Amino acid sequence: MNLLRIRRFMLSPYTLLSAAILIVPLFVVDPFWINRLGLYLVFSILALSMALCWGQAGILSLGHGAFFGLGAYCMAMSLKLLSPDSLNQGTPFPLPDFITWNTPPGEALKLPWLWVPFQNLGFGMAAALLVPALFAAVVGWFVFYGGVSGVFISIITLALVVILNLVVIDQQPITNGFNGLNNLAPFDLAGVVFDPYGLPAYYLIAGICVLLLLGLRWLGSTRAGLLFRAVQADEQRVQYFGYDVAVYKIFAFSLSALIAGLAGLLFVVNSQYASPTIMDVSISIAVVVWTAVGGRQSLIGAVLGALAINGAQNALSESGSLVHVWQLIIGIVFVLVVVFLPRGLAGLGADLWQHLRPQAKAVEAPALVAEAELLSVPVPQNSHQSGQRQS
Amino acid sequence: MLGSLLSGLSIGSVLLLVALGLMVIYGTMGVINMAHGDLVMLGAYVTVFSQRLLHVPFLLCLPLAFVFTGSLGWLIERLIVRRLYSRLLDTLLATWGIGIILQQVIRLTFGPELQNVSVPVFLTGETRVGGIGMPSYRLAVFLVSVALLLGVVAILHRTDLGMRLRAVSQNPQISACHGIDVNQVRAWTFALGAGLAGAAGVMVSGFNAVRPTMGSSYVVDSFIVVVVGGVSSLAGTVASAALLGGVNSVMAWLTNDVLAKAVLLLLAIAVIRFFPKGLFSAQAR
Amino acid sequence: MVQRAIASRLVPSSPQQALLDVRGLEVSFSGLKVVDGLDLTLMPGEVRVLIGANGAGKTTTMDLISGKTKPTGGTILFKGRNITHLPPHEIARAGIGRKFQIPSVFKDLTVTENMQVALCCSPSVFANLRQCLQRKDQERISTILHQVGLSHLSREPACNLSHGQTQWLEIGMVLAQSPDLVLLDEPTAGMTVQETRKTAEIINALRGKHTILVVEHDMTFVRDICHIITVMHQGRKLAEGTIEAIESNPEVLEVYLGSGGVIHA
Repeated sequence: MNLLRIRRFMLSPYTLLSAAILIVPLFVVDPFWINRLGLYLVFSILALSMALCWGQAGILSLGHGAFFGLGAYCMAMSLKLLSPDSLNQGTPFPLPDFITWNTPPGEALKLPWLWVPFQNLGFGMAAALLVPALFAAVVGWFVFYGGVSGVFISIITLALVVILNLVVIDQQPITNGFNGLNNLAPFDLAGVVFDPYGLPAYYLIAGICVLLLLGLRWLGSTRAGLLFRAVQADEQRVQYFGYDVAVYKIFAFSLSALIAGLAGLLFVVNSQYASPTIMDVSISIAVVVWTAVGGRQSLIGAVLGALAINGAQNALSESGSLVHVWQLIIGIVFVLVVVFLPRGLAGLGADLWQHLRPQAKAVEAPALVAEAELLSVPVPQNSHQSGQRQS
Repeated sequence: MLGSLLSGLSIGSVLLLVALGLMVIYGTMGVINMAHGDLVMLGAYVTVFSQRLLHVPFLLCLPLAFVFTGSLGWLIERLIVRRLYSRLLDTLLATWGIGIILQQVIRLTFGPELQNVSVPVFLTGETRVGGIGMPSYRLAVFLVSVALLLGVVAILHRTDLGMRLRAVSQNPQISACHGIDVNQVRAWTFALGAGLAGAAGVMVSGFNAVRPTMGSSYVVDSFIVVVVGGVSSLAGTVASAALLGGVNSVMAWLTNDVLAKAVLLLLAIAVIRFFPKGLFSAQAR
Repeated sequence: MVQRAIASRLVPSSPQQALLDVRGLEVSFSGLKVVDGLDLTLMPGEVRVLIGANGAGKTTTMDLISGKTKPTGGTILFKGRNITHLPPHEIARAGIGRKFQIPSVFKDLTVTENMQVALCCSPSVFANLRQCLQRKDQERISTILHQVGLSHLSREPACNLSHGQTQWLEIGMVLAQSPDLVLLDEPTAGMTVQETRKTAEIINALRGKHTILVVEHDMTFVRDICHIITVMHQGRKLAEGTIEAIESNPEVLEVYLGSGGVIHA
């Protein structure tokens, strides 16, 4: 019994995927590819945050780029102030180079108040997580207590990311506008330097990705996870059992934003820049695409979707025109998945798995169902059981 | 004063022009067509294409674009949107995907660079309106929006299709029971909305840069207009386009264009939160 | 808040105090008064049936009590506390559970999971960050499932249940809330004769443990479960009394015969 359980745990898709993420560097030695893989894992973390928000709690956010970007900017501000360039501006305090360029000659150089606390790296890191989470909590409080739901949440979050993007570009003296923040110091924590092309950075990202994968799976198995599913099924009904639905939604939305902020932080560690292009509409829709194609209700699907789409995109980016063909293919795949496979490729996989082993299903049904549930939670539209009711 | 009023009116007429197609689809079918902006973009490229290869005069591009994007809209409804009426959030995603596809197709055929559209000479100068000079093209945009608006009103309230459409938008099941082919009506409505987007694209191409990504800002703009105006009233859409045009020109005068846009979006969020039925919708039950 | 609700549940209310006291309740939708000055008093442990023609305002009354609709006038006192303007989740926490007319269970969840959602020990997110199915909950769930006769289906997704089973599941879910007052909106709608009888048995087994307010059309069923009936007509209370008194009440007869005769048992 115990052995069986251990075997099942070892063979569960979660364990396999986590192991694969952690042993990949044994086979990939090229630092360029280590860096790329790290980037895809950052996007996987972003997709996980979307899977929590959309798949588990049923909130389709089209503005996750805002949280990702806020996290990235907070981290980048700290690393900018720690860079040699900023430290050697001839001022008693570190000063980003673009502020020097923007200050008219004759005027005193000073660090904008918004930048002052970011001289502390710990503050920058904490802000990268908490600023998106608090922002999401405020937005969530505003919309969910107002009874806004469904499509309107998507539209509001979409508008938010557009607003944030406009403001960041507009406030050029503080944010460096279109150019964003680059020339950053490498991330150095307690003496360990996370060189973006080195293994420590990869394992930092991979470790966090695996922890989140397992952590979110655990969250899904708690009563709170059950309530998220109930809220998704029938929000009104849940209220009459005494739950304040808005609180649950705010919780999921803020947690998701915090994870997106974490992804932004890791993005800066990996790519060493933050710019308006990583907090715009296209990244927000990209993360929805990865998650939808992988399977919105499957954490594994979200991770694999992000890895596969970004990996393939990169493979094709060698030649310029193929990238656009790839975007076209992605667009077509996305539409097809939304129309025909609402549970994404993970749902397709789970169905195939059940069809391929019909005899085993009869004998070992609970175990297999459990495994299928690990892959994805069934959605009624496609459930082949729904026909049974009439019979 | 009159100048800023005219400028607001002119921005408002562009907003109305662009939002009209979205209004027809969203207001009557409840479908959020995220490909709307890209249909506008397609209309602009129809102008580029017909001018360059077919040497069609500018104003004739209007019906051309209307028919072209309209047929495309009809196809989109038949092939995709129709399967998703029970899943509203998925319609949003699927139409967004269609938008991505349209954008890439255009990028692959025309390239990512800016395209030029030549505007006929009689629309390039200034026209005196009440003693104030106004670019003739802006005036033309205003006239075209009003004409299209009147056209839509006529279709909705004077034709058989319009009558059936209003019935379907009230209650599809009962309409079907009374012998209305609901699927047909919806497909034609979608085609009408898409065609209006294309026509808007033609007018937009005359004063804005034509490029594959131009659609994304239009879909946001038009959605704001529709949401602020209230889902199911054309009059509300007109009022909201005028209001937002005014707010935009005042904010742009006070700060700059970018912040004006941000304020407009914040306003839209507040309206969704506090007036989910829009500012100008009739107090129905 | 929660502690207070639980504590007040433990203290037996004095026999004089009404559990639910509705006074002059009013609601209008764009000028049309759907509930118009309704008074209704329920004593603890009572089973009361609300009948009336379609449009008499029965379901709307339930909506008003459970907080789904906000009244435009009047007060609702529950255990002496004014709950008139509380949001639905706070009314539920105060001890009112509701079964809807259209059976509303979570179709994607299994029967047991549905029960777990209803078994609201603590409404807070953070308190619910623990694994499902603790032993205490499990026992309670299996007791209730046994009560409503769904024990053998506990692992089945709710979408596979028949119409009657779905109704019983929802009754079970409401019981899992352990409310003082149970609102049942047409619990036998669409049920076969056997299913209706079984529902009556379930409700009779609850007599004394919960106070129950039922909206119902089926007079056989009404006879099976209670003896005091309140008749509503055009948003007002038309009559109140035992079945016999109601059936011989000339006013009621006139209204019902006039509107097609709902009392057909």
